[in-house]
Amino acid sequence: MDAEITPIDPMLDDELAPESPPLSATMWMRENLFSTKANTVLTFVAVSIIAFIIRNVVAWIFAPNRGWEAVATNLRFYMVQAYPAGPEPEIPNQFVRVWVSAGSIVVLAALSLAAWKVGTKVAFTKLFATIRAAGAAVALVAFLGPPTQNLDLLSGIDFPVIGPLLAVAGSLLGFFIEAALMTGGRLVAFLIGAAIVVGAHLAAKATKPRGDDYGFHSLWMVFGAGAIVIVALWVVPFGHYFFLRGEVGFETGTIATSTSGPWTVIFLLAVGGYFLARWIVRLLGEKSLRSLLVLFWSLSLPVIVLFVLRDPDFNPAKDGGGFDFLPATDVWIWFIFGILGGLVIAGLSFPRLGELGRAASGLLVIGSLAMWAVPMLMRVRLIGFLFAMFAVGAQTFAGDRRARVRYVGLWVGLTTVLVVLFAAINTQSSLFIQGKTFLGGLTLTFVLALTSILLSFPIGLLMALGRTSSMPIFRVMSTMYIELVRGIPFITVLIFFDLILILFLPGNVEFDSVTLAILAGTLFSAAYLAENVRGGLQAIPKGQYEAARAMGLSTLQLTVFVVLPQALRAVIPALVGQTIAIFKDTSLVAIIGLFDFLFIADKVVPAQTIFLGIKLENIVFIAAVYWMFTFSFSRASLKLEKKVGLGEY
Amino acid sequence: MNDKRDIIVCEGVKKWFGDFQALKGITTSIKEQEVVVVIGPSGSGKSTFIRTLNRLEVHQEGTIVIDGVELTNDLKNIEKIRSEVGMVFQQFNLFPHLTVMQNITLAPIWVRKKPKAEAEADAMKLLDRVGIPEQAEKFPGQLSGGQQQRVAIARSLAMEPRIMLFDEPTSALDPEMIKEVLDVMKELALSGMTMIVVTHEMGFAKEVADRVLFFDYGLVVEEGTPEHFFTSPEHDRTKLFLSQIL
Ligand SMILES: Nc1ncnc2c1ncn2[C@@H]1O[C@H](COP(=O)(O)OP(=O)(O)O)[C@@H](O)[C@H]1O
Ligand SMILES: [Mg+2]
Repeated sequence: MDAEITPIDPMLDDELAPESPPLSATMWMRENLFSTKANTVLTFVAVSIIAFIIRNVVAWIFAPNRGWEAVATNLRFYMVQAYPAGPEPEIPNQFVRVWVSAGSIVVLAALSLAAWKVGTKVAFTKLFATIRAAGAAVALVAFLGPPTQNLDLLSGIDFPVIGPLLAVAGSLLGFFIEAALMTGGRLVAFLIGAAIVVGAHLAAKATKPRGDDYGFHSLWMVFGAGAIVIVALWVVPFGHYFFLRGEVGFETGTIATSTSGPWTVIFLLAVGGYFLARWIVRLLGEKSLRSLLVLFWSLSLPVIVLFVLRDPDFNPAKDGGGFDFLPATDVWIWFIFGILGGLVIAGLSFPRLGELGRAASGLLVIGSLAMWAVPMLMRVRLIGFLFAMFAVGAQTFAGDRRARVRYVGLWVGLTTVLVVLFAAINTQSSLFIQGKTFLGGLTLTFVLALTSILLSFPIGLLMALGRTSSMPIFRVMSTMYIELVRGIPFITVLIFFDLILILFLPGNVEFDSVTLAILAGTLFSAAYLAENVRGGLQAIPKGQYEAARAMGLSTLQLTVFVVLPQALRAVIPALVGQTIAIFKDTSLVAIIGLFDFLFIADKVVPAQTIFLGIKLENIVFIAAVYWMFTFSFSRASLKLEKKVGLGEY
Repeated sequence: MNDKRDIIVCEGVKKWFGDFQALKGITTSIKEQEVVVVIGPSGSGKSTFIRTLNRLEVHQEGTIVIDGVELTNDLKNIEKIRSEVGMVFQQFNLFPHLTVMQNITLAPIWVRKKPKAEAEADAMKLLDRVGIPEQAEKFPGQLSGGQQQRVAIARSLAMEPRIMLFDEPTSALDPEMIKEVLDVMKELALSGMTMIVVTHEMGFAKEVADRVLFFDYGLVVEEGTPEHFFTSPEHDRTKLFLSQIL
């Protein structure tokens, strides 16, 4: 082992692997499609089936009697249902709230792109190859597109056995002849597709010598696409219909009047914000910007839903004036838990407290549980429970002085946010609310899905830990809950919450349908999340626990710093699947009378007098929207997985 | 050696896994700054023994006193002892999601409540000591086995333990990496650390150990200085074992 070894340059003697020659198109086809006689037959059969399907789908989409205008007219309805306008004409519309919500999300996203340096270099060669493929697809669809005439050449022949075969052959032949004879819009589309293919091919050839390093930042593509959409909004004469108070309204000209203006502003703000953020990152580094954005993102959902869209009416004039922006009770709750509680937590975080601290936080936990036994405001119970949790963690997570200050600050900040949110929930909305809720359409779908996922996450985590815990009581409780919920369909849970829960709750507690749906979704998905996380927990080797214990970490510290980060990383795919499932499952809320995305397509639009019975188009439209979101979400999670996978063995 | 006081005292330590008795009454004591090497055939209870010393395993009979504190179920005693006894495992057991620096500073920051900057400065010194200061920002998965084990040693040392336990620290390593880890351990022994080392590296035992314990069937069959142990063992089982591995 100690012998002198002369280091060898490892690159010195290696031969280069022989370069595989690029396959020509015909050779590729011969190898992959026509390698044997049987494969050739299979290829032809498969191609015919695909062509048949594409033709029929395209024919269906472009058929002159399709009712797409039912979708186009109801777009606003699909997005926000009746949100912005009350039923009375004199109530001013509240469009601006929707635009502020959409705008702040888009701008936040743009800032995050800059702060997390998203994007890669795209080579021109690759871009042109993609454009070429897109052009080919357009040409192909046009070629296969809806038949203008039906050429069933040999259909009249009536021989046994051979007759049907001839008929099939005849219709196939007719298919191709007809396709070759295309005219009008199809021909134009085909020529455009072909032109794109040729142009992109030439461009690819021209840039090929400069290699794959010759390219541009991928975000330019995003901005470019955004710019094209914006320009299209201004110049393409879509016309804009909308459905309001039982009538179809119509805005002439371009879509401009109500849509393109705001989108243009949002787009400019987003692009401007992106470059501003890039500049800040260059100047100050990305760390502070990232933590600021994380804060904004975590506040965005409640702030947008409760303040921007719902607009609680903290109107001082109503209660006889005075400085009464927050109801007096909430100020007291804030003072007692936030300020006095903060002092208690600061005291408990003293490292030298030891055994005494443990006893004190134990008492606080018991106290917080006792609050559920006596009549008390629900928000006080919830904040009290969180307070006890923070007190338990004080010894564990407050390290040196800076960490202690941060911990107490976190608690005070959290109580402040919670108290304000609870006050907002408990205050009348200033909007004129039509029907059961101010939310509807895709907005409702998103609010339900995001809220349920976010709320179920901590519950699911706790339950997973409980199920794997060494304490029998936690284990039994978690297992019972998980197995109970997983054995019940979501619809049942929803109906249960809608009908029965009210019976069990004290009379003064009332929930609106959205809250109920969120509650059901949260408790339902928590059980599935718990099972996913448990899978991740079981994948962690025993040695990790032993090493952490041998270093003196407490069970809580070991769980938070060692176990959970690894377990969550291992279950990202399952978590994404769960999130997508919740997103789609929200469509079930229609049965408790909410106007979600699916309900509008299924029941509302087909019932409008002018669009009576037009359903399939609407269902196809929302299917496409659902698919777009779930697909891009699972794509994004693939990237995330690769990124956080860095630390794995 | 004799003027040093006992830092670990074991009296009749017994341990069962179900019906199977893994430790059948271990009685020994270890002095401050002593380096004890534990050898013995596989399954003889070596790991179980040293794991009872920081209560990763709970012994059922007998007493273990470490630095004057008896190991019982009292949480406070366990915490005190764990922060004084460092342990290095055969499989390194580094935390794969944390960088080398974070692996080392985790316990000092959250158990010892050291300010982060101080913990990081100390960690850098330790990385220097084990010879890999340039790897601080890497993840364990990006290091070789020998480097990982040295990080694991640095991680244990960061808690400033008075006793270090090693459970076959080089058994999972490729031959060319064993030496770099043994060198770190030798340096540690010379600096006066109290060490208990389970190992099959006889060279290390001969060179560094003050005393050798030979385990078989859950018992200390023979103990003595390395010279005595390797040149004139008394028990047949020891002779057999030595003839098999030397
Ligand atoms: N967690 C456990 N459960 C059951 N038996 C165990 C456990 N750990 C160790 N043993 C048994 O105890 C005996 C001693 O194990 P160990 O101390 O690991 O031996 P060594 O380290 O000397 O190879 C072995 O027979 C082993 O099978
Ligand atoms: Mg062992």
